Amino acid sequence: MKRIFYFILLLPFFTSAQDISADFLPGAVSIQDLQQNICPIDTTANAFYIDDFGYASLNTNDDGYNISYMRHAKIKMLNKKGFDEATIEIILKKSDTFKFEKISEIKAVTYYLENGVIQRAELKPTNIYKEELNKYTDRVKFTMPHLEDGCIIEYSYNIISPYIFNLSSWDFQESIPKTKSLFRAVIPGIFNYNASLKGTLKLSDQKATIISACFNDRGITCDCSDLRYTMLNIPAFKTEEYMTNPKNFISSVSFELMEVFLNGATRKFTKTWENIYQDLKADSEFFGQIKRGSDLFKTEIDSIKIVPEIDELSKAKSVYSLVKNWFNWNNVYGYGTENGVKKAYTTHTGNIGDINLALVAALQYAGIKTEPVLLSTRNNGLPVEIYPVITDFNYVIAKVNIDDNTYLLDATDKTLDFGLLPYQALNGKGRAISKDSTYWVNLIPVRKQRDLTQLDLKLKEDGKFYGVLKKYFYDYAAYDERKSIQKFATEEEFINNLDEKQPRLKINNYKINNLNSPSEILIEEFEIELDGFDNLNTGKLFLNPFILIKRQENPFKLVKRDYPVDFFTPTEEIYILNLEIPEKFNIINLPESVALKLPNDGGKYLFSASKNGNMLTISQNLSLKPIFQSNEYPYLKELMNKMILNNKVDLILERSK
Amino acid sequence: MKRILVLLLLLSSLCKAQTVINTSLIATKFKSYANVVIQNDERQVEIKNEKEIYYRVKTTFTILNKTGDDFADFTLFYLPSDKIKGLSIISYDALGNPTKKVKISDISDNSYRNDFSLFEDVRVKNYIPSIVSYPCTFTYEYEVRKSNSLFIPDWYPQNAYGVSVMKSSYKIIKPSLFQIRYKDHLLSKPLESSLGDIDTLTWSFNDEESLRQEPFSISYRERLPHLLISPNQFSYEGVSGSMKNWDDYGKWIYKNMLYKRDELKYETVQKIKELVKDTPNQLAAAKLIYEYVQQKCRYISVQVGIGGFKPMSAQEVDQLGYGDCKALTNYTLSLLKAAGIKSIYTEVLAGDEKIGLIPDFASSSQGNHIILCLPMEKDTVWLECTSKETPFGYLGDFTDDRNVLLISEEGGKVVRTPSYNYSNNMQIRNAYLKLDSIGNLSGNVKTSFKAFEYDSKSFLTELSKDDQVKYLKRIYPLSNIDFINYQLKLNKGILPEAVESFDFKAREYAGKTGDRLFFSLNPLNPSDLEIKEVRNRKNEVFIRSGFTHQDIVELIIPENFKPELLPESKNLNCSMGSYFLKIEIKGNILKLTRSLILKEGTYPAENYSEMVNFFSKVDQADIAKCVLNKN
Repeated sequence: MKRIFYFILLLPFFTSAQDISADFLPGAVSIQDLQQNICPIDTTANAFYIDDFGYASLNTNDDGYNISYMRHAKIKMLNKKGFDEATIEIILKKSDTFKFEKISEIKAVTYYLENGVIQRAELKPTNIYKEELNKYTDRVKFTMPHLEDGCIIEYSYNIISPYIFNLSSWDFQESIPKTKSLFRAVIPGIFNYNASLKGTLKLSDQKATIISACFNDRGITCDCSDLRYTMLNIPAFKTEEYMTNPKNFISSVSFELMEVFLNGATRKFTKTWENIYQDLKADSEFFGQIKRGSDLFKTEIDSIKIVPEIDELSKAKSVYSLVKNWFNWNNVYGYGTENGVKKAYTTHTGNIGDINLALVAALQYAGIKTEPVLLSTRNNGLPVEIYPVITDFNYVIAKVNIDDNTYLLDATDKTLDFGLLPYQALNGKGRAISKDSTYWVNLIPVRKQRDLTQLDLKLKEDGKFYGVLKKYFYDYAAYDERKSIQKFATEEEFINNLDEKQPRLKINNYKINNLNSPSEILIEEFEIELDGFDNLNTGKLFLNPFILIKRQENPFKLVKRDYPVDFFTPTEEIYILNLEIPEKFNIINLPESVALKLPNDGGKYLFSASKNGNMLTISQNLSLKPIFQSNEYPYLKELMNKMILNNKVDLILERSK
Repeated sequence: MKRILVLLLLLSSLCKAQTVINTSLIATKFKSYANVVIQNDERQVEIKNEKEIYYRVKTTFTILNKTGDDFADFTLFYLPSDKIKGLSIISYDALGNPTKKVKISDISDNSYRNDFSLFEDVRVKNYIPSIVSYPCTFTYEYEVRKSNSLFIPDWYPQNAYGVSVMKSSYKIIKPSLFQIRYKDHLLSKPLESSLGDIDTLTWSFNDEESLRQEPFSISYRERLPHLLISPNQFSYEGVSGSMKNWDDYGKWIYKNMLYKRDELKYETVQKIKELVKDTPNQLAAAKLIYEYVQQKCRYISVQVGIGGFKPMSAQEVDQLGYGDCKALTNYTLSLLKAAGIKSIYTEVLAGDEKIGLIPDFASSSQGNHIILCLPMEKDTVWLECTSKETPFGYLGDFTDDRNVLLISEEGGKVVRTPSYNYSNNMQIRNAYLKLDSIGNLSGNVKTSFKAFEYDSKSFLTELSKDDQVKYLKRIYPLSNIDFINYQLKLNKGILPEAVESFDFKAREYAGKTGDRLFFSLNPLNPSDLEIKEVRNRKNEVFIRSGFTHQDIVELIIPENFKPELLPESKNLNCSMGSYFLKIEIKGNILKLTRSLILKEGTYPAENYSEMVNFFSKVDQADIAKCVLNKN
């Protein structure tokens, strides 16, 4: 028996031309479907969408406009490993008791075979749960009854949403494959939405037709665009390691309201960058704050200004330290102010907007050419570039221009050095906003995550190594190391932890330089003792030059990747060993030098060894660029392979006769 | 899972004015290896009657550094029937000046969610302060009125490592007729007083320095000082009861939560009878029924109201094909009953921490999971009913070796689940390898994994092929390894075994320089067991589970090469284990024989350094390389 679905009746503005049963036929499950035991596009799949259909239309009622959104999906459960897909979660937005999204007509059936006959198990309304995630979000959940290998689940629901700015975005791709995904939007001509497609997969079909006189709003009738986006045979989306926000890569379509034509007038919602600038200029939470913040640090900056012969850069650095050390970030994001810069100033606390707008203001007051730059954090995803979407941004930084150099500054983290941005902010491009122009600014850093480890050791007759370990941390490496030291109550606890982690290592004395001066190189110096050999009474000793590293593995194990490897920053690791060996021993195999370079200036690996009497010197340098495209991945993987292989080679020390 | 964690965290106290002290006045001893100092913590439970109980909490604590941040997160779980009053959160600077009074609207109030339940009706209030400078102090205060008296909150005055306590107290005010029992650990006796027909008991815990977390220790829940309290008579979701011991508790649960929940439709009973009609004995029939449930049902947890204790009926599970631990256990029990096999509903505290029910102290908050006990003629069989994969009769480290409560018509009875020792948890590997003159390695590997070692591998069969390969590349981290003919065979049984076999190739395995090749002879057992030192260890060493690993590796060396150096043979022993390594050369074959045994158990704190030293030496021996030289 075919089931009747009621959603068609729920949408009074449909005419027969909009019959959606052609797009998705409910209940159409055959014995063959139930007997199918493999996903036609991915033999490793445990479950897949046979059909996934979304339908959004814009309507009007007594309360104004709303979007009606219908989802109808049919999923094949190939085996029990796919059963997690049978628990459905639906997010509903809400603002208050008047404005919220409403869900209705939740229908769900499990189809299975019993003695060759199709059986149905229906979801009961008592087994649907609604929970409150937070003030602005609810979640409806249910799980399908009677699952067994090979069964098919089908569900549909309808959401009426008052949030018409974003006409629901549609993910073609999910964590399981889909043989078909169709999104259809019926939009009255008086509304103009901008559709943007994301991801690497191509649409199989895209159709736009006109439905005449389909929309009626208090006597005014207009045509609708009927848009259909179809994608076929969509592979599962799989996250990879060293990957930035997956949502940048998932194939999807989203719509943002651009303008509404009503009563002969046009109301614009999406704008040009020029509009954005004008809006922000008038915005008391943005440029208004920069204006208001100009005299916050007046006294201090005036005294910096009068320092004779101070150059622009030093001035900028002084202002930056001043502002950075004044404020504490309250962990709230946002490019605009939360409490206002004045209040943030008195309480020493503010959100990203409060602090960095105060920074822009202070720098401008000091006479340094500075612009605010809007950006989106990694967790927030990449901003759309082809037209401005102001809601994509959730962060602001200061861009300082001195001579031909530019510096991107963020005063919300005391561990940052002048010119470094925190990792969350290193996301694609940001948009500089100034009165002359607005333009994209590349956020990929030039400064590296660079560290240098230098070991000066002597191998003594008792089989132990004695000497000094020095570690130099630069830029992002220093930032990381400072952060990890800060996790300990005292330097001593940090050192004890290091010491206890490696039972072979004993730290006799230590010194940490510049821990609290982010503009300086962070230097750790340890006097160490390290267990090497039980005794030196053998004819030959084998010694690995990477004394502190037990074993290495290649972090890249996949044969190929679909998405870029993203290290956030360029990397450089340098290792130098100066080892004095006992007089009685000779080094009989000095490893060969290695020099490897990646294409497109991707990076390099250098290794060399030399000896001078009983002094041995080993040096190694690995540098990598921040982002490797998937086609550059094999080279990166191979470089790491070669390094690991090279590090397996031991030195052979032979007792002289 | 039962909803017990929620109530453990419902804390309580007094409403006296409390002063926040300047953090510079906190004695140094409280700051040493500490992240948090509890300045004053007062909790109070006032019992008016079985259906009206007040929990009051007032606590003042100082966060010393970033690691202590989490301690300041305010989380209050409550049931829809609870009433919360007087919630106040105030922060102070280092000098003790108030900096912020948190608005009620800034405290989130949501449904409680976790990763094992589809839905629970528990709600949670949550506030995460943003801490901008250290030290800083917070005061939290609230009152919860509850109409359930089954749970009286536990007290952990020092509830985490890195926390020192200046002053804390826990007070119970109750009618003399309302009787309670308690179990304390590392606490002094309470002060008791009576006024008319009201009794007051007050425990104090003051002036304690912070404790360091030490690896290989018993759970903090057992180690840290604590107080458990249980009422003798109570009311829960409108059902009243009384308990003085486990027997009473078992009777109450059976009568109110289980009775008649095991009824099935006639057709289902017939189906089961049909299913087992040809089985030779009850054990075989039970196995068939267990596997039938595994095939038919999956674990989905929904906890609403009395459903926290009362299983969904067997009939409902039969229709839906899912349920939580209570429901699936009760369903299995009902099917076994249909086949004439007796089984017993069993409460346990599940988790790999191995904490058992306290035999001489009955309370409703000690268990969190239900399993099934099957008393068989020869031996008792235990069933975990929430997994589609667990072998019949195997418990694994989720519920092994601990006191559990059998619940039946006859009442409650504490018994112990079976344990799996180091000789059960076996890994035996045989590898036949070949190295070529360029350093490429290939070979065939066969490994048997038993008991807990089985658990470490059996889940691989549930992964997709892609994820399987990803996982294998991680645990066998040879550069460029390719797996050929990977097979994992599960021999399910009361002591299950997984047999893994594969061929592999790994390009550029051995390092090469001139005429020499450098490589480790045991590439597949990167037992990275180097453990952390702890100076002045205070705590007994607790090895939760032991194991035995045995490896035999034979490697054919490339033609024209001869060993120049081979790792030394080793024979190491310590109180908790032993290690043996032998490397021989037989013609062109290098043979490695290795065994590593770690024995579960509790050892004196002094023995810890011995263990560190042992594993450090084992590690050194394991990574020692062979060097081959071309003739």
